[in-house]
Amino acid sequence: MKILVCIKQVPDMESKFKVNAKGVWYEETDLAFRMNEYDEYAVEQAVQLKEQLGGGPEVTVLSIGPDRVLEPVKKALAMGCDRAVHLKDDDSSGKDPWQIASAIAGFSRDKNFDLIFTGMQSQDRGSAQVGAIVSELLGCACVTTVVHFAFNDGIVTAKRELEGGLKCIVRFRLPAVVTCQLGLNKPRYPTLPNIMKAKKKEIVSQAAAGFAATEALSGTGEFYVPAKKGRGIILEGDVNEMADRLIGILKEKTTVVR
Amino acid sequence: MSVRIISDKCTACETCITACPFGASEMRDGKAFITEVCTMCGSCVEVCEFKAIERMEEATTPAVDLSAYKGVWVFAEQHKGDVASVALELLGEGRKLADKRKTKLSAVFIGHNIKSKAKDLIAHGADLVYLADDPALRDFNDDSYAAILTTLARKHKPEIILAGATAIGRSFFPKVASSLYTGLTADCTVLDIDAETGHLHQTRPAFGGNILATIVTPNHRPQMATVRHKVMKPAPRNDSRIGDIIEIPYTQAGDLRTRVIKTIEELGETVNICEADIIVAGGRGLGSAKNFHLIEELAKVLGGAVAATRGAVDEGWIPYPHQVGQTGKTVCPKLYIACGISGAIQHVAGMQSSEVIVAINRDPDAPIFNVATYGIVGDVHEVVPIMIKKIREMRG
Repeated sequence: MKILVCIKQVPDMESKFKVNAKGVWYEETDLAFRMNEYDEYAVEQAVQLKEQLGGGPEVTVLSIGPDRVLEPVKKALAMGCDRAVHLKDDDSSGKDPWQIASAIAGFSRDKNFDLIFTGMQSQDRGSAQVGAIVSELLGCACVTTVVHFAFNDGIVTAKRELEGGLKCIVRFRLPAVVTCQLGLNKPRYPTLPNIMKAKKKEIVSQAAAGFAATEALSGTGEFYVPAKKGRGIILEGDVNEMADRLIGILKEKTTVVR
Repeated sequence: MSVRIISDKCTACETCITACPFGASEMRDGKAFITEVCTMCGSCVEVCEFKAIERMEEATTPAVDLSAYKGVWVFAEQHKGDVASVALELLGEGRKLADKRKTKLSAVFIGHNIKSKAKDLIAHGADLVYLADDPALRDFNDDSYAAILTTLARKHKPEIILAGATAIGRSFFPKVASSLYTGLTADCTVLDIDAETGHLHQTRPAFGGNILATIVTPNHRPQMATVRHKVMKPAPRNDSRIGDIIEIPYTQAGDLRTRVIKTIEELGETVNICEADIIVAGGRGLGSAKNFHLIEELAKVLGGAVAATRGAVDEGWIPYPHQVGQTGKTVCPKLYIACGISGAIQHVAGMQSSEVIVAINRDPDAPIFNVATYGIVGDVHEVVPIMIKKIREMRG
């Protein structure tokens, strides 16, 4: 079995975001980066499946972007992935989901991956499109927002989130793309011996341009920091009085408390 | 840009036929031939060992005739046969866009035993309903839903297609968009249309709401977007409205790649926090699982849903589907009451667009007060029980 895990490096959300000079992205200086959290669930699930199958499957981790994306790639290797592919693109943030997905599909097309894991969305853009488009381009099944995953005798049984508190259990054969949601698993911390072992693992670098579609289907028109709402009304003092005042305000100002 | 076969070099190995994701490559007169459905993705160029296919960048992409696309469509989601509230919101927004463009609003309605509900979509603003009602469509399936919408869109060429930014909309819309070779913008909160050009300005939050981005699909149609719950105003019901219902026969093309075994409703999650009007949320400040029940009680007397910060979920006080924030759900209720929540950006990202935010926290400097509409500086363990008591009295 061959498994691919697609991960993205995203800025830490506690950063102060400043719009860049071009006005279509943020200024990258002074930002801290980390692995997209949903992709950590993807890495963990791939490694758990490898362990379940006695170490048989080969797990490849893939990331697109400038050289800095090697940081989360190394973390994924330390978590247990076997090898890595870096699709180099210094302008990956300027690509739309279609182009990113086409690069992944282009790279994967002749590699016969049985399973492709990725996060259900990225924490920065949160488009939640890349996994589904990859499956469409590769012509394989796609199951999104998965919160439970079991593999037996070549068949996957997964629980996925739907709306309205509904979930559903789906069954599918490989090959397939699975996008991972909060609650699927608890990503492991890389141990020091595994970090050391990871240093010897192979990282192949290739230009993303060799695989990606050249034309973007959508583009960013404007990119701006939303206007801050003014600070609200703060009540202090006697608990009973505050509760009365608040309930009074809510009755008057909202349509839902009466 | 164009893709061209160099006849002399082509060996008719047919590798490009298997490689083409769009079925645009075929054999004609013993050589490969690229048909008009080619999207210039270049997959065939990569796989050809004989360098018999070239992609020429200098030529311009044959422009899509944007004027051939007319009408606004919404995908009307249903849950267990009932029209989802987000569908009515989309009809409200879709109606406005259609009126600005002086065009029709159509709804695509897929499920089983939903025929009687189709007229509700007309009452809420649709001029036309495409109804696919079949036992095989009872449960959501990416493959069948995507196939129906893709086929309809190819045939009728709408200029805009909207869906709710729900798990379902977000799951199958990317497949439809890539099949139609067009752009998709997820999680929009503001839509605006240029009445003249028909360009849809799709504004969406990114970076946990730190930034707003306006996305456009200038050269392709239809323009596709998923729209967040509760942001758009639902269309009012008007039973005198008239419209057509067109039934779409459903035939399954090939095997479905995924099979739904069963749909389950998990205990305690019966009120979906994404759809709730009132949410009471608790954080680590509550101190214990026992105190967390206070939150549940307040939610109950208010008729609201319960949410939590990551901290509270990590403590095991409540399961993860209730987590609101940067990882977790993004919610937009009419009233969000944050109890014992400090207001870290990771949490605020998921709730800051709520209509009214009430914060109850002992620390007057807690960042949650920066986003709160109303704040109470006080101990949640004192304030919440009094609130519960007073609301109970008020409601008799």
